[in-house]
This record gives sequence, structure tokens and C-alpha cells, in this order.
Amino acid sequence: MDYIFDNERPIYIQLVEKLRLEIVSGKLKQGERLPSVRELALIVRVNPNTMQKALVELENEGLVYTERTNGKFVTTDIKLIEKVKKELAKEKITKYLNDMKNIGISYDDAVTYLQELGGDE
Amino acid sequence: MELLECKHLCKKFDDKQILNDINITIPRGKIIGLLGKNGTGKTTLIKLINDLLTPTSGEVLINGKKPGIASKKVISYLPERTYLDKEMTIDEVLKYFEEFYDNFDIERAKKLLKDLNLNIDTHISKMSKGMQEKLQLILVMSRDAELYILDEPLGGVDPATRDYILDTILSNFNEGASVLISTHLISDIERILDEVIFINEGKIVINSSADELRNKENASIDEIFRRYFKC
Amino acid sequence: MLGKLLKYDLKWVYKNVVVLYILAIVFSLLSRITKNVESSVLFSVITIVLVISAIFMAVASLVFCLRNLWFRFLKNCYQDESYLTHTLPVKKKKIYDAKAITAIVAMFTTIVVILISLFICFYSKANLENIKEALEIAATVSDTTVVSILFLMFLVFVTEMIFIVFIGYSAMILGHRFNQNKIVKSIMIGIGLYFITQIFSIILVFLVGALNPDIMNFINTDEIVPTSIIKKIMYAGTGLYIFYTLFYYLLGKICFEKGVNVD
Repeated sequence: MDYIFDNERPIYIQLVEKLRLEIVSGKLKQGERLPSVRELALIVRVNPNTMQKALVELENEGLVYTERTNGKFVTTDIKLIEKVKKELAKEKITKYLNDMKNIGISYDDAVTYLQELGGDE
Repeated sequence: MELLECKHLCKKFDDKQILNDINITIPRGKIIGLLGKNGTGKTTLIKLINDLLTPTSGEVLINGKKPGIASKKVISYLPERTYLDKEMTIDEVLKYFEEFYDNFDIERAKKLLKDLNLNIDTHISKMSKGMQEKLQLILVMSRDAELYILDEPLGGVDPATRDYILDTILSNFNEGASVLISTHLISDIERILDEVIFINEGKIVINSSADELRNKENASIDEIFRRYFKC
Repeated sequence: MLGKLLKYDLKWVYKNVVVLYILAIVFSLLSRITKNVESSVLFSVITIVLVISAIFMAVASLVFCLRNLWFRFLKNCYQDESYLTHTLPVKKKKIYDAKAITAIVAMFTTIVVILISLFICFYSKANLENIKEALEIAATVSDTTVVSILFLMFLVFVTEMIFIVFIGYSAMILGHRFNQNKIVKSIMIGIGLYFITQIFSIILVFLVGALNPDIMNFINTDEIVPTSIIKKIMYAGTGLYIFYTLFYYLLGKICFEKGVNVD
């Protein structure tokens, strides 16, 4: 996992975003056991303290939980994952629509383009 | 008791005041960047911590004590220069470290050397400068120390070596120890720093958590550094 | 820790000196073999060449020994290696003592080797008789024995060499307390200390002469001197060199422990 970080924003926030994405997209499976903080930090190449902070944040959001002797796990709360997924999607959509607006494309046209051009995938 | 404390530390050479009233505290379990342009006092501060220089006034305390045998046992220092006897072989240097440092993990060092394809019977004088630097890094990181001090570890290395150095620092990390990295090449290293200390003309000008500073200034540490030290 | 430091210091200092030791002894032995070949001009010449080579190697070993001792001190305590030496968890005085002991041991062995190779080269019944005669005269004149004269000569020779090494150490330590031109200052201090020591000796002699008329007599006139005076002078001279050696050992140690000023 070679994450590229933008040095202009707090690293731990970027880590939270990336890990959140991996969880909602299923790359990190529900209920999957995460490596230790140190191992995870090494894989991603960040400071373990930063990784710790990011994981605490994810735990606060409920996406990750700690089982005292067994380590950290990805949540199995499907409802939560769906909720977060939707929120992320909303973010992306809002940005897309904003970007389209900046180009000068109306909302309706933006939707049309999405169906026509997006469907090529 | 703090790992490292500098209290009103001053150092003067002849008429030149190199360090002026330095007050810093280094806690355990952090990676800290000592950032400043060349010639601003970084290396002088590091030498004072390592008992290679004596203060003009003020004090340096490691675990509450002045630099001495106790502090040297727990500090592992990587200077900018090659400090090994070049007539030795790698094997002899390993034995030397093992003899003088109780906390030197020779097996770890041998393993790291193997990863680099370095034959332990090679004479140091026959190694390239880059290889010598890697050897010294391995020796320093193979000690089970409380404070690792790396002076310009990334100077003049290629990206692959830089990644190797960063990986070695991260994989060596433990909550009981701290790493103090002194450098002027910030963008390469800033993402692994917990805290940053900016030093300019012998004075501490910024001492803060890296992420907080990024948040506050909405910029990378490198960018903040450039803004600050614009001359 | 002292033993460990000593091990590495001795190894470094002896590394090429041992080769010179071996060459000196080998040449001496060879010269004896070629000497035994009689009535051959060629072999006589070879013998002379071998003897000169042996002496040359022996003297070279002394020169290199001194050079190695000083270079080791400089490199290990004040140049790039000092970054390692001074961050070892070892008391500064142990670092210094290891260097001091290395000097004593190395000079002692070098002088022994010189004497051995000279002995091998020049041993003959005739030579032995001549030397014995000269020594016996000296012994009578000074009211001592041949053995003690030989012992004192050896002691003075060794002590003088060690004293020179220690002046070098002190000079380097003092020279590096400055921030500029450390090497130049070290050399100047070394030469200065040596001359000051010699002048001190002369002043001392005159002071003693002022207090003891017999000695003043000895200095000023050509009269035959009482044996008691010669004996006193011999022992005093030896004692003085030992004193100087100790003085410079302590001076160096005290200044070294004050802390280093590494570039």
C-alpha cells in the first residue's frame, strides 16, 4: 500500500480518509482483523503515532473497534458502512455537480452527460 | 522525567554566539524533526547533547543527568560524517560495537547488512560513500537506545536509499524511544514527523506538533519552512 | 573497558611497526650468518649492508612507533573517528589511559627490539670485553654496579621516549582547545613545551648548584668529581625524566577530562 500524501494537510486526516475508503469499498472486509498499529504504519510508511491517531478517529466513527486482547477489527455494522458510503458518495456528487457548474453545464445536462458518458465504463 | 531537556542552553565559539537560550523538551515515543538552514546551530546542539562540546552556559539533561556515560549508553548517534576506522572490515566494526555497547543487537545488524548484500569481510575503505552511510545507519539503528539522533541522514542519497532510511527508522520505532532527525531537506521526511522544531540563528522559533502546524498554516512543513526562512 | 580500548589502540599502533621489528631482527640474524663466511669480499660487503639495513629498520621502527602513537591519538580523539570515540559509554580518563599505556608498552618493546638487533649484529667476545671494561670504569667512578648502570641507561632511554610521546599528547590536547588552526597550534605548543622543559632542567641544575657547592664545582670546573656526586647526578637525572613523564601524563589527563572541542 503505497499511499501518497499531501504534505499540506495533516497526515492523520488523510490516513483516516484513505482507510475509511478502503473499509466502505470493501477492500478492507467487514470483520477483518487489522494488523497491529506498528505493522500497519510500516506498510503504509507513516509514523506509528500518526497511524494510532487515525485509528482512534476511525474508532470514534465506529468503523473500527478494538477487542482488548485480539487487536483491532473492521466493523461488521453494515448499516453504518452503507451510511458512510452514502455520505462519501454525496460528497463526490456534490463536488461533481459543482465542477460541472464551474464549467458552465446545467444540472440537467450534467445528469445527462453522466448517463451517456459515464455508462461507457 | 523527560528524555531530553535543554535549559537556557548557550554556546559561543570565540566571539560568535551559535546557540542562544535554547529551551526544549523531547518526550519519549516521538519522531521529531530539528529543522533549520545549514549553519543555524543544529549540529552544535546535537554535539552538545552528545558531549562532543561543552555548553558556554545552561544545561543539557538526558533522563535528568548531564551528558556522561549514562547518557551515552542510551543515545545512538548518527553523525553526518563517517566515524569508523576505515582500516577495519565490517565484521571488525560489528565486534567493536558489540564490545562497547551492551544494547547492540548484532544479529539485527547482520540481517540488515545481508538485505543490502554487504559482505562482512569488506574493508570500509573499499566501500562507496553511500554504502558507508548505510552501514553507519544500520549500526546506529541496531542499538536498542532511548534516543536516536540522526544528523542529516538523507543528504545526497538517491530516492531508493531515502525510502530505505525512512523504512528503517519506522520499523525501529518503539514507544520507549524517540528519534531526533536534523535536516534541511524537509519534504522528504516531513510525513513521518510527530513534532517539528525550527531553529534559526541559534534560537528556537517554532516548536509544535507537525499536524497542528499544517492545520494552522494550511501548508506543508516544507512550505512553512520556506516562508519562514525567506532571506 | 580500559582493556577493550587498549586492545584496539595497541593493534593500530603495532600494525606496521611489527613488520619493522621482524625485518630488523631478520637482517641482524642474516648479517651474522654472512659474517661467518670468511675470506670473501662479497660476503663482507653483504654483511655490512645487512647490518646497516638492520639498524635502519630498528630506527625506523622507533620513528614509526612514535608517529603511530601520535597519529592514533589525533585521529581517534580529534578527527572524524572522535565522533565515535567520545560517544562511547566510557570515561574520558579511560580513553586517555589506554593511549598512555599503549605508549609505554610500544616504546618499551621498540627499544628492546633495537637493543636485541644491535646485540645480534655486534656480539663478539672482543666487543663484549671492551664494553664490560668501559662499564666497569663507569661503575667504579660512580660507586654503583655495572648492572645498575645498564638498568639506568635503559630506563632513561625508554623514559625519554615516553616523555616525548606524552608531550605530544598534551600538545594536541591543548592545541585543540582553540577553535582555529588546531594542528599548527598543537605543533607549536609541543615544541614550546619541550624547550620549556629543557630550560627548566637547566635552571634546576643551577639552583641545585647554588645550594650544593660540590655540584657548583662540578659545573664550573674540570676537577675530578667525587663519586658520590656522580652517583647523585645519575639518579637525579633519571628521577627528573621520570618526573617529567609523570607530569606530562597528568597534565594531559587533566586537560583531556575537561572536555573536548570536536570540529
